[in-house]
Amino acid sequence: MVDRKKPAHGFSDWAWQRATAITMVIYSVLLAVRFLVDAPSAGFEGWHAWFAPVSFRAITLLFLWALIYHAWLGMKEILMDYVHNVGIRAKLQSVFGLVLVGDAVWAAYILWSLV
Amino acid sequence: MSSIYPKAPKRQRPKNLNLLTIRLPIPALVSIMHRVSGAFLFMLLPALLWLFHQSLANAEAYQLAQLVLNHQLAKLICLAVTWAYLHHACAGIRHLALDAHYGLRLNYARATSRAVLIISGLLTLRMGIWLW
Repeated sequence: MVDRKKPAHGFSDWAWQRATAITMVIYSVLLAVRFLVDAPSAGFEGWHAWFAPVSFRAITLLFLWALIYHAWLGMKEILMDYVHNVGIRAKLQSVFGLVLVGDAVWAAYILWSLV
Repeated sequence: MSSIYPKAPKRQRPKNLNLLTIRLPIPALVSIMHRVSGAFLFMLLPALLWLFHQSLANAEAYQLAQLVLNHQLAKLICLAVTWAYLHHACAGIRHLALDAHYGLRLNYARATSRAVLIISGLLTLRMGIWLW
Protein backbone atom coordinates (compact mmCIF):
# COMPACT_ATOMS: atom_id res chain seq x y z
CA MET A 1 0.00 0.00 0.00
CA VAL A 2 1.32 3.39 -0.96
CA ASP A 3 1.65 5.76 1.97
CA ARG A 4 0.73 9.16 0.55
CA LYS A 5 2.28 10.93 3.51
CA LYS A 6 5.68 9.73 2.35
CA PRO A 7 6.28 11.44 -0.98
CA ALA A 8 9.58 9.60 -1.45
CA HIS A 9 7.97 6.15 -1.73
CA GLY A 10 8.02 5.78 -5.53
CA PHE A 11 11.37 7.46 -5.78
CA SER A 12 13.05 5.09 -3.35
CA ASP A 13 11.91 2.06 -5.39
CA TRP A 14 13.20 3.75 -8.54
CA ALA A 15 16.52 4.60 -6.89
CA TRP A 16 16.99 1.13 -5.36
CA GLN A 17 16.27 -0.52 -8.68
CA ARG A 18 19.14 1.46 -10.19
CA ALA A 19 21.50 1.12 -7.23
CA THR A 20 21.11 -2.67 -7.24
CA ALA A 21 21.51 -2.71 -11.04
CA ILE A 22 24.80 -0.82 -10.86
CA THR A 23 26.01 -3.16 -8.09
CA MET A 24 25.29 -6.14 -10.35
CA VAL A 25 27.03 -4.61 -13.37
CA ILE A 26 30.16 -3.90 -11.30
CA TYR A 27 30.17 -7.42 -9.86
CA SER A 28 29.64 -8.98 -13.30
CA VAL A 29 32.64 -7.13 -14.69
CA LEU A 30 34.79 -8.05 -11.68
CA LEU A 31 33.73 -11.70 -12.02
CA ALA A 32 34.57 -11.77 -15.73
CA VAL A 33 37.96 -10.17 -15.05
CA ARG A 34 38.73 -12.64 -12.28
CA PHE A 35 37.75 -15.51 -14.58
CA LEU A 36 40.18 -14.27 -17.21
CA VAL A 37 43.06 -13.41 -14.88
CA ASP A 38 42.72 -16.08 -12.20
CA ALA A 39 40.57 -18.92 -13.57
CA PRO A 40 39.58 -21.61 -11.05
CA SER A 41 41.53 -24.83 -11.53
CA ALA A 42 39.56 -27.85 -12.73
CA GLY A 43 37.42 -29.98 -10.48
CA PHE A 44 35.70 -29.49 -7.14
CA GLU A 45 38.87 -28.61 -5.22
CA GLY A 46 39.75 -25.74 -7.53
CA TRP A 47 36.20 -24.40 -7.66
CA HIS A 48 35.84 -24.63 -3.88
CA ALA A 49 39.19 -22.90 -3.34
CA TRP A 50 38.11 -20.15 -5.72
CA PHE A 51 35.36 -19.26 -3.25
CA ALA A 52 37.57 -19.51 -0.17
CA PRO A 53 38.53 -15.82 0.20
CA VAL A 54 36.05 -14.11 2.51
CA SER A 55 36.20 -10.92 0.42
CA PHE A 56 35.05 -12.79 -2.70
CA ARG A 57 32.28 -14.56 -0.82
CA ALA A 58 31.16 -11.23 0.65
CA ILE A 59 30.88 -9.45 -2.69
CA THR A 60 29.21 -12.53 -4.21
CA LEU A 61 26.60 -12.45 -1.47
CA LEU A 62 26.19 -8.70 -1.94
CA PHE A 63 25.61 -9.35 -5.65
CA LEU A 64 23.04 -12.08 -4.98
CA TRP A 65 21.17 -9.92 -2.47
CA ALA A 66 21.22 -6.98 -4.89
CA LEU A 67 19.85 -9.30 -7.59
CA ILE A 68 17.12 -10.60 -5.29
CA TYR A 69 16.02 -7.14 -4.19
CA HIS A 70 16.12 -5.99 -7.83
CA ALA A 71 13.92 -8.95 -8.75
CA TRP A 72 11.48 -8.03 -5.98
CA LEU A 73 11.12 -4.47 -7.32
CA GLY A 74 10.79 -5.70 -10.90
CA MET A 75 8.22 -8.39 -10.15
CA LYS A 76 6.18 -5.88 -8.14
CA GLU A 77 6.15 -3.60 -11.16
CA ILE A 78 5.09 -6.40 -13.50
CA LEU A 79 2.26 -7.35 -11.14
CA MET A 80 1.10 -3.74 -10.94
CA ASP A 81 0.95 -3.55 -14.72
CA TYR A 82 -0.83 -6.81 -15.47
CA VAL A 83 -2.78 -7.96 -12.40
CA HIS A 84 -5.51 -5.42 -11.77
CA ASN A 85 -7.45 -7.35 -9.15
CA VAL A 86 -6.04 -5.97 -5.90
CA GLY A 87 -6.70 -9.13 -3.87
CA ILE A 88 -5.03 -11.47 -6.35
CA ARG A 89 -2.15 -9.05 -6.80
CA ALA A 90 -1.56 -8.87 -3.04
CA LYS A 91 -1.51 -12.68 -2.84
CA LEU A 92 0.88 -13.06 -5.76
CA GLN A 93 3.08 -10.34 -4.32
CA SER A 94 3.36 -12.15 -1.01
CA VAL A 95 4.15 -15.43 -2.78
CA PHE A 96 6.92 -13.76 -4.80
CA GLY A 97 8.16 -12.03 -1.65
CA LEU A 98 8.35 -15.30 0.28
CA VAL A 99 10.17 -17.02 -2.59
CA LEU A 100 12.70 -14.18 -2.76
CA VAL A 101 13.26 -14.10 1.02
CA GLY A 102 13.88 -17.84 0.77
CA ASP A 103 16.34 -17.25 -2.08
CA ALA A 104 18.15 -14.61 0.00
CA VAL A 105 18.52 -16.87 3.04
CA TRP A 106 19.58 -19.76 0.82
CA ALA A 107 22.23 -17.61 -0.91
CA ALA A 108 23.70 -16.66 2.46
CA TYR A 109 23.64 -20.29 3.59
CA ILE A 110 25.42 -21.50 0.43
CA LEU A 111 28.22 -18.98 0.76
CA TRP A 112 28.64 -19.17 4.53
CA SER A 113 28.36 -22.94 4.97
CA LEU A 114 31.63 -23.36 3.10
CA VAL A 115 34.39 -24.66 5.31
CA MET B 1 -16.50 3.38 -10.80
CA SER B 2 -17.52 6.32 -12.96
CA SER B 3 -14.79 8.55 -14.23
CA ILE B 4 -14.73 12.23 -13.42
CA TYR B 5 -13.27 12.91 -16.82
CA PRO B 6 -15.51 13.67 -19.81
CA LYS B 7 -15.91 10.76 -22.19
CA ALA B 8 -13.75 10.81 -25.27
CA PRO B 9 -15.81 11.23 -28.43
CA LYS B 10 -16.63 7.90 -30.03
CA ARG B 11 -14.72 7.37 -33.21
CA GLN B 12 -14.20 4.39 -35.40
CA ARG B 13 -10.53 3.65 -35.07
CA PRO B 14 -8.66 0.69 -36.41
CA LYS B 15 -7.67 -1.66 -33.60
CA ASN B 16 -5.12 -4.43 -33.84
CA LEU B 17 -4.35 -6.53 -30.82
CA ASN B 18 -3.10 -9.55 -32.73
CA LEU B 19 0.33 -10.21 -31.25
CA LEU B 20 1.42 -12.05 -34.39
CA THR B 21 0.84 -9.13 -36.73
CA ILE B 22 1.94 -6.24 -34.50
CA ARG B 23 5.27 -4.90 -35.70
CA LEU B 24 6.94 -3.32 -32.67
CA PRO B 25 9.40 -0.47 -33.17
CA ILE B 26 12.84 -1.74 -32.15
CA PRO B 27 13.05 0.24 -28.86
CA ALA B 28 9.67 -1.24 -27.87
CA LEU B 29 10.94 -4.71 -28.74
CA VAL B 30 14.01 -4.24 -26.55
CA SER B 31 11.78 -2.89 -23.78
CA ILE B 32 9.41 -5.87 -23.71
CA MET B 33 12.35 -8.27 -23.99
CA HIS B 34 13.87 -6.53 -20.97
CA ARG B 35 10.74 -7.33 -19.01
CA VAL B 36 10.39 -10.90 -20.27
CA SER B 37 14.06 -11.70 -19.61
CA GLY B 38 13.78 -10.29 -16.08
CA ALA B 39 10.72 -12.40 -15.26
CA PHE B 40 12.45 -15.45 -16.79
CA LEU B 41 15.52 -14.95 -14.59
CA PHE B 42 13.31 -14.57 -11.51
CA MET B 43 11.63 -17.90 -12.31
CA LEU B 44 14.92 -19.73 -12.84
CA LEU B 45 16.67 -18.25 -9.81
CA PRO B 46 15.86 -21.17 -7.46
CA ALA B 47 17.22 -23.65 -10.02
CA LEU B 48 20.38 -21.60 -10.44
CA LEU B 49 20.86 -21.36 -6.66
CA TRP B 50 20.40 -25.13 -6.45
CA LEU B 51 23.13 -25.68 -9.04
CA PHE B 52 25.41 -23.19 -7.28
CA HIS B 53 24.78 -24.92 -3.96
CA GLN B 54 25.53 -28.36 -5.40
CA SER B 55 28.70 -27.11 -7.04
CA LEU B 56 30.10 -25.84 -3.72
CA ALA B 57 28.67 -28.21 -1.10
CA ASN B 58 31.00 -31.23 -1.52
CA ALA B 59 32.74 -33.34 -4.15
CA GLU B 60 29.78 -35.69 -4.78
CA ALA B 61 27.32 -32.83 -5.11
CA TYR B 62 29.76 -31.16 -7.50
CA GLN B 63 29.72 -34.31 -9.64
CA LEU B 64 25.92 -34.23 -9.63
CA ALA B 65 25.91 -30.58 -10.76
CA GLN B 66 28.36 -31.49 -13.51
CA LEU B 67 26.20 -34.42 -14.59
CA VAL B 68 23.15 -32.13 -14.79
CA LEU B 69 25.07 -29.47 -16.71
CA ASN B 70 26.36 -32.00 -19.22
CA HIS B 71 22.82 -32.75 -20.37
CA GLN B 72 21.99 -31.07 -23.69
CA LEU B 73 18.73 -29.62 -22.37
CA ALA B 74 20.52 -28.12 -19.36
CA LYS B 75 23.07 -26.53 -21.68
CA LEU B 76 20.26 -25.05 -23.72
CA ILE B 77 18.64 -23.62 -20.56
CA CYS B 78 22.04 -22.27 -19.49
CA LEU B 79 22.37 -20.53 -22.82
CA ALA B 80 18.88 -19.06 -22.43
CA VAL B 81 19.77 -17.84 -18.93
CA THR B 82 22.98 -16.31 -20.27
CA TRP B 83 21.11 -14.56 -23.03
CA ALA B 84 18.44 -13.30 -20.60
CA TYR B 85 21.09 -11.99 -18.19
CA LEU B 86 23.13 -10.28 -20.91
CA HIS B 87 20.12 -8.79 -22.66
CA HIS B 88 18.70 -7.58 -19.35
CA ALA B 89 22.06 -6.06 -18.36
CA CYS B 90 22.67 -4.35 -21.72
CA ALA B 91 19.12 -3.02 -21.93
CA GLY B 92 19.44 -1.92 -18.30
CA ILE B 93 22.62 0.04 -19.00
CA ARG B 94 20.77 1.66 -21.91
CA HIS B 95 17.99 2.60 -19.47
CA LEU B 96 20.52 4.20 -17.13
CA ALA B 97 21.83 6.27 -20.04
CA LEU B 98 18.27 7.31 -20.89
CA ASP B 99 17.74 8.28 -17.23
CA ALA B 100 20.72 10.60 -17.60
CA HIS B 101 19.15 11.98 -20.80
CA TYR B 102 21.67 10.38 -23.11
CA GLY B 103 20.39 8.94 -26.37
CA LEU B 104 16.87 10.29 -26.19
CA ARG B 105 16.67 11.29 -29.86
CA LEU B 106 14.79 8.78 -31.96
CA ASN B 107 17.68 7.81 -34.21
CA TYR B 108 19.94 7.28 -31.16
CA ALA B 109 17.19 5.36 -29.36
CA ARG B 110 16.94 3.03 -32.36
CA ALA B 111 20.71 2.68 -32.75
CA THR B 112 21.26 1.86 -29.06
CA SER B 113 18.38 -0.65 -29.13
CA ARG B 114 20.02 -2.37 -32.06
CA ALA B 115 23.36 -2.27 -30.20
CA VAL B 116 21.74 -3.96 -27.17
CA LEU B 117 20.45 -6.79 -29.37
CA ILE B 118 23.74 -7.21 -31.20
CA ILE B 119 26.08 -7.03 -28.17
CA SER B 120 24.01 -9.39 -26.00
CA GLY B 121 23.59 -11.70 -29.00
CA LEU B 122 27.33 -11.85 -29.71
CA LEU B 123 28.23 -12.42 -26.05
CA THR B 124 25.62 -15.20 -25.86
CA LEU B 125 27.12 -16.75 -28.99
CA ARG B 126 30.53 -16.67 -27.31
CA MET B 127 29.06 -18.44 -24.28
CA GLY B 128 27.43 -21.00 -26.59
CA ILE B 129 30.77 -21.79 -28.19
CA TRP B 130 32.29 -22.21 -24.74
CA LEU B 131 29.44 -24.48 -23.56
CA TRP B 132 29.61 -26.88 -26.51
